[in-house]
Amino acid sequence: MVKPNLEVEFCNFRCENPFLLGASPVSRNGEMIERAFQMGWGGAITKSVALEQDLKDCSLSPRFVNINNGGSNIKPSFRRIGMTNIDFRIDESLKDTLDSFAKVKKKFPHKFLAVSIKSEYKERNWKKLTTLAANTGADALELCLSCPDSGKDNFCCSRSKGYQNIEQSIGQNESAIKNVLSWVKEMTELPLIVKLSPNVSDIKKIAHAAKEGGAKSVAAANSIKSISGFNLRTLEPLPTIEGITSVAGLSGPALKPLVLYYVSEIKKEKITDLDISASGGITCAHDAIEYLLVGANTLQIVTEVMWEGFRIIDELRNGLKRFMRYHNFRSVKDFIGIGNRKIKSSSKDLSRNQQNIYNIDKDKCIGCGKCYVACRDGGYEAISFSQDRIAEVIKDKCTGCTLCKVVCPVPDVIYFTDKNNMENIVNES
Amino acid sequence: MKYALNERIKGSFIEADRCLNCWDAPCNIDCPAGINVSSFIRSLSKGDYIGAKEIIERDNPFGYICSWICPQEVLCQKNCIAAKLGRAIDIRTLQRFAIENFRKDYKGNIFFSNSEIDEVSININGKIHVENIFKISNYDQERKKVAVIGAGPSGLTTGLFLLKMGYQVVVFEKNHLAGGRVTYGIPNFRLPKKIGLAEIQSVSRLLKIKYGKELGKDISISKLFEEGFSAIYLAIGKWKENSLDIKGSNLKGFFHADNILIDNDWKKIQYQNAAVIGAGNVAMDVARALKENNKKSNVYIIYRRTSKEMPIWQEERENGWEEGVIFQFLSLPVEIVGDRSANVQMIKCVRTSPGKIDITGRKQPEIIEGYDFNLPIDMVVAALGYQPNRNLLISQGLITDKNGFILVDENLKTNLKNVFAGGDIIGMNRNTVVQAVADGKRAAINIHKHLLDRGENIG
Repeated sequence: MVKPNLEVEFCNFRCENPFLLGASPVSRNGEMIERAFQMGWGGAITKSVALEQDLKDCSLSPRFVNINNGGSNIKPSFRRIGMTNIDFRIDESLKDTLDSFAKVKKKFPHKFLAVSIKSEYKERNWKKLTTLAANTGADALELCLSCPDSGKDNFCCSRSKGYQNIEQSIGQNESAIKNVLSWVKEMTELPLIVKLSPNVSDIKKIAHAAKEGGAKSVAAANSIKSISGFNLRTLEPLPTIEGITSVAGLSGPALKPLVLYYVSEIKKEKITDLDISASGGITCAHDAIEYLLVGANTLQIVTEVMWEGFRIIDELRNGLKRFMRYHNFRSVKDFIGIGNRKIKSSSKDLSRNQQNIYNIDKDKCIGCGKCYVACRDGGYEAISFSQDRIAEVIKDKCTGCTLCKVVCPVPDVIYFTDKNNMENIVNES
Repeated sequence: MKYALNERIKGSFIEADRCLNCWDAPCNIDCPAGINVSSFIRSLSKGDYIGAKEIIERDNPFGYICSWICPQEVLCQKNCIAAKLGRAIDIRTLQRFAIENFRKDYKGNIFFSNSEIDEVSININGKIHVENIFKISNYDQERKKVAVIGAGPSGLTTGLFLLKMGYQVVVFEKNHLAGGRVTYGIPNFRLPKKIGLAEIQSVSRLLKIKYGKELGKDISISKLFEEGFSAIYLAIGKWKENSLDIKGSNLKGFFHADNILIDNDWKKIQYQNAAVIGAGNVAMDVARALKENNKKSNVYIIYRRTSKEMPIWQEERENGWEEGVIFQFLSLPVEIVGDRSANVQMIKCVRTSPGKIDITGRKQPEIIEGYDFNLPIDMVVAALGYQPNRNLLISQGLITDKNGFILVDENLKTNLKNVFAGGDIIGMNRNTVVQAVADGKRAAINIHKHLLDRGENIG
């Protein structure tokens, strides 16, 4: 059997595996990154550094809100779909932070390390920051152009105020991106990663702008602008800071389908040479592989690490290896982006010849009736439910929509058969 | 002191997330009080414990008491679908969690908040009928007087719902505290006295209660009608202890269950080996009380059948087991032997073996000759359960069955005109607070319909 090779090419660097720590508190300083590297992470994008971090002495508190699968976000739950945050910031001085990054890069020369930088839309600041960050010996620089909580006077965020009087973050404006890239490129030869904002109408245009500006890679995507909800008792929004809050960034599993689409769109654009680093709700090897299939080169993982710790790397690596062995892929490159050709942009392009109907396995069914009520009130009234709690599909009415399978709590109870074949079998008998 | 489930309550939001919210959920059907269990758990799973509490309270004014002592394994949890995925939902703990959180918000002692209730669910043999109290109480008659005899959970519930419907209610209670068996009889380790009393009082303070009035002594059914009451609800419970016909029951150190469960004098007595005769929930309460009072003592439960046939809730048996109650199965006590100063010294037993199946469906114990044994003891408690005072009921003109329980029709109506009955007094199988509440609620609505003389009763 071939031994799967997890190495990936990213920003002219050979990463030993595609799993990177994303720019976030998990890569706040060199010590944390060092610990992750020792456990087997392939690389790290550091928490974005900013010139202003020397000015302000502390972060906001609280910063996180747990997003549950509906209902109150205050209650604890294992069924959470994400997390919102406002204003991550490094509390140490800029010099100390960069020194610790330099130290860890020196200690682990074979691990990928990109320093993320962010600043206002000011040429001088970007240039100064670039020089400082490049001096750490990093393999690349990430330009954070898309903080979701960038507001009017939010100093830390990369805001293009003053540029053509458009009030938006740099990441939402193509020419602003190009300008920033040109400033940064003046100061360094390092490959540049542009962190894209999901809050754009067409992410492909932004990716093109990044490429034209000279970026080597794009990172899709930053957390998405969101409002975390309210405390209904006090009518205060969450996270409450002296009674008010700001727009926050949503991260976590809820983002995965959205960012999968973004990565797929960018990959399909065939922008030559542009590496894609995906980040958005990766929790396990399964999610990671899905991102690779739609065209990501590396995977940035943040929220799950914040919840579960660096230890998830074992599961990620083993899961990826198992997948590659199963499909006889020698290297990750063999399957990057191969899923995209199976994804049409419109459902009009799909065949209507496949017609399934669903069946309920009576031996496995536990009789909760969830499929019955879902099909009755949200489907085709195609399931009957008897007094003794036996659910049955009414075959004439079933159109194979799969809603029953969505709500069924037990695996493999509901299975489908081909509608046409079923009819054939009936006719023959 | 052991309070069961105290630790589990911390994981309640997670537990609520496990609920499948089944269609036509069995838990709703299996709750005698008709609490919409699946819907309150759904509220909890969305973080809304106040909503959950309201759903519980709508159908059970004693939801907190029930959340301590309800035998959920034979009620709401019995047919829980989640059990087929591993483990049934811990419904009782969730109920307690909702109410405790609510209480925390309101800083203490409010239990029953007497909120606007317009609809209640009545569970009749597994069918839920929803009755709109507000609608049916909207009538032009003058306020009629209804007497409730017995301020236990059943009587208080009836009183409360009749009050909401606009009746003048007077409750007669023979003791000096309301609550019936909740106040007198349930040991502290199953339901802390403070909690029981507080929730009882939250309802009883709304009602006009005359204490120290006992049926047959101070009041009688006929006199109450003379006094102008239009209807009577009898919820007097069963208080007469089943007696033990055994030699030596006059010795010092021989007690009845009530002596242990209601009084406190026995706690001063020194005992090392105590025997409890009986195998029902009362016997287990007594045994656990004895064991709790003196942890070094040996407490025996002597029962002529085996563990399988014990008329006891599984959970209670396990609790007794864990706490070190010693079970003497297949043993029939025949004589209590005393010493010279007439103190209990030992109990003589014979061995039995399970024989043929009798009318109750259980194996009839047969005595095996020659295997007699003596158990050295210094305390005996007869805990054979309770029965109604049949003579009293008959003297009031009520028809009872052979065990002394009042015979009622499907509307809880007795043979006497405008007299209804419910709770422990109408049957053997009604030995829970939740059943008493269910009867109380049903009686309130039936009394109302009966007095309106609409001729339509809800069953």
